[in-house]
Amino acid sequence: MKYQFFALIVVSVFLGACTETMVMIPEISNECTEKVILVEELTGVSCPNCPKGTEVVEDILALFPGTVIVVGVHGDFLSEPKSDSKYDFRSEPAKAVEDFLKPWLGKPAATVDRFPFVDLPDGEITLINPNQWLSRVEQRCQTPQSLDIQIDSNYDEESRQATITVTTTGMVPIEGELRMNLFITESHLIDPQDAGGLGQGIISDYEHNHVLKDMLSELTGDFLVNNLSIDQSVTKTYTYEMPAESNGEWLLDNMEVVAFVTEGGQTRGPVLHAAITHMD
Amino acid sequence: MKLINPILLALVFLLFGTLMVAQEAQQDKGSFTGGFQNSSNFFIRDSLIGAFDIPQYDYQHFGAQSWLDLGYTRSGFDIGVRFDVFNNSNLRNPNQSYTANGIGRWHIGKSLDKFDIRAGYIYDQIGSGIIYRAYEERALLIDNALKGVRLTYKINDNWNARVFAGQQRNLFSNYEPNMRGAVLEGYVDLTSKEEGSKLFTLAPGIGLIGKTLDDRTMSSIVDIVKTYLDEDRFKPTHNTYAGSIYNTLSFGPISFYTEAAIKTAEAFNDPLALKTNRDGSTSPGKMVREAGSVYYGSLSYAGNGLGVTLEAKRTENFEFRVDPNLQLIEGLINFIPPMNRQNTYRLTARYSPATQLLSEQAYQADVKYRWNKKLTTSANFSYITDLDGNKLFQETYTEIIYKHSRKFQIKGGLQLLDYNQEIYEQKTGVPIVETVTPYVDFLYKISRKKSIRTEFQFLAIGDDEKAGFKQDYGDWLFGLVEFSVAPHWSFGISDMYNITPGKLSPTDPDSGEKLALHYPRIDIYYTYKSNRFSLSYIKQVEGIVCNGGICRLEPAFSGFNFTASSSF
Repeated sequence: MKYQFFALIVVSVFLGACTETMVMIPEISNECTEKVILVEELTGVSCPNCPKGTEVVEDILALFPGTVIVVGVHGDFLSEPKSDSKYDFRSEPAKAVEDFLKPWLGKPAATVDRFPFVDLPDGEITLINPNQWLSRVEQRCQTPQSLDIQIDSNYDEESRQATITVTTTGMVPIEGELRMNLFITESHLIDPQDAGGLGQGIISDYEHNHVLKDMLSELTGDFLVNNLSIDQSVTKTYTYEMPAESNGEWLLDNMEVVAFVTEGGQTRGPVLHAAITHMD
Repeated sequence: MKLINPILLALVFLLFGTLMVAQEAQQDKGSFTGGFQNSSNFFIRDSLIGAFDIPQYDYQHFGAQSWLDLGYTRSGFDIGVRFDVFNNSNLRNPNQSYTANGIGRWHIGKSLDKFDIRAGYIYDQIGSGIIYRAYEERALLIDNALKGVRLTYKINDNWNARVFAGQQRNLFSNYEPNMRGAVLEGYVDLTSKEEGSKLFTLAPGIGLIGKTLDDRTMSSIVDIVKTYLDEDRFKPTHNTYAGSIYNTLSFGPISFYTEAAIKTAEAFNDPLALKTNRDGSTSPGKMVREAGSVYYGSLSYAGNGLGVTLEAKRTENFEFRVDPNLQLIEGLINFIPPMNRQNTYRLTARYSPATQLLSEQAYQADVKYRWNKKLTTSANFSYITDLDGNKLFQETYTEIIYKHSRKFQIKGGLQLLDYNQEIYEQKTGVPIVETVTPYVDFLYKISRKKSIRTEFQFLAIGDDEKAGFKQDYGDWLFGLVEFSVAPHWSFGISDMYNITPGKLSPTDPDSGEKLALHYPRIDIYYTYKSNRFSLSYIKQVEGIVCNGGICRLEPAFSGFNFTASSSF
């Protein structure tokens, strides 16, 4: 009798749930609003798994053309150059941004619009599993556009100085403080990358894109406006002196200006809208 | 998740205590037990060794973690509560700061005739833990107790069964997926009456575990799988089942433990599975849905001064977590036994292999022989590959212990080790680490109360020809002197010297030369009854810290450490 009793419990606990309705997997939807999403990819030259993250980023850019802007943040962690590197992508702005986006467990990691997705722990905005980035972009791209950003960059070759004017225009009434963030990025930099996670050792001619080179705004963004109404425009102007071209780095053709507006005052976001233009 | 109100818990504690005190008719006066443990770190930045760039070094300077356990048993009741405190602690993540406090664990249990009922946070294990182990390992901040209920039934003197259900603890909250389990364990004496008792016995058992994913976790899996192309897609299921059958056969001095465990197909991250990209290329690393298995056997003999243990294990796709998105040591439901010697000396423990959950084939042999009262020798050999035969780890370890008299003892030996750093530490393009480590440990009892112990170890490592340096951090020399005055005091001073710097050794920022650095340590221990305190100055190189095959990479440390532990 005792044995039957326990056998009954075991059967009811386990076998009673052996069959279940299969979960259906939907297709990715890339039907988005006009809002542009910012993806900050925390990466590093000495990070063996980071090329996996970059592959996901490339997938995102291919699936959501014109909807996503990527910034590659080579801060301090796993970012030291390899012995045969030409460049050192680490910079004080990148390190500051990397720290600013903590906590994160490791690299690769990314933020999508610096948005605190519900499955992240309280106060965290950084996704450490690259497998999740694409679906987070899909989720975020349904967000209606609330403002527009226009960037005008005028570069003087002689002085290597760019005058960057950023105009933000409200499309719906927005309450609260808005902050303007301005990054300088560079692409098409060919240099070694640890790709151990891909089983490829060190790739000597890896193409590094969207590398964060400088930050013209404060880390938390520059104050833009308190409350933005429909069609109200706010303009901010920045100047940037680009370092001299060196060893294939700091090439004008590869430089871009990224602007994005965050809400929430001194907090880190989320990003309401982003824009990008060549520095010319 | 809302924390359990500590005041409410204290009231429950008092209520039970009062009720039990009221039962004056009973002779059982009960027993009150407890324990306190604290570890406090004072961080001193040292950028040269990599001890920097976390909040504790940059501006917090102090971090600590403490646990206070209280328990009371009486008249079949068993109640307990634990208060956990983390102040800017780096234990959860060595690179970050964590602050929280609250009730970390509580439980209430009652034995009723043949039943034992328990609720709260419950530790348990099925077999050797291959399908289920809920346990605490404070050094790595593992505490995956089941928050739920358990019912145990003693069928007779030799057989018992238990069932349980709940959710896995996650610091001061719990993971959302649900688990339930059932176990039947017994003991059979097959010895004939003429042969005496317990010559030939069996200790069989069977266990089952079921896990059901919550909607949020399932949604996160779907979010990942939908980003895959058709060839990589799969349909995930909410439920996963794992079963294990095990037995210990004892025949005189021979003991033979066997366990076979299987797991139904479930989603997990496989870092080596090839994912097809949208441009047609492939790259390793994707979520897959596969069934898993582990087969484990251990044969041991002990008698006439000889002890022999032979072990073998095969693991395939047995990553079993409450949530497949969790990584490293988070959310593990099970524990797969390690297959290497658990070394304790500083340099022989420097390279320890983490148990591989997806693909591992491992063997271990351990032989110990006591020649006479003075001389004991032992040897251990372990060999670990993945299921494709790629070498992951190999260790040959010998030891001789010679007790000359009650006054002194000398212990020494040699360790030969191969360690696949690319797999265990994800360091790309590095050759398999090869080390040769002789060691000697000398203990001299000056008087009945005073003793002095010394250790000397030298770790010689192979060359990384591609890098043009010694492998990893290069060669190490370690020395320790420990002076003890029983029963209260113990003093230790040691130094780990990077005698020949390697590829990863720090570089002089001015000259660019690799630096041969010292990593000293000074310890003072004070023991009074069941209380123990220590104060240490530590400069420690980055390294792997393992407990039973569960490992993580600990960054360098520089500063003071204070510990206190007490039990009552």
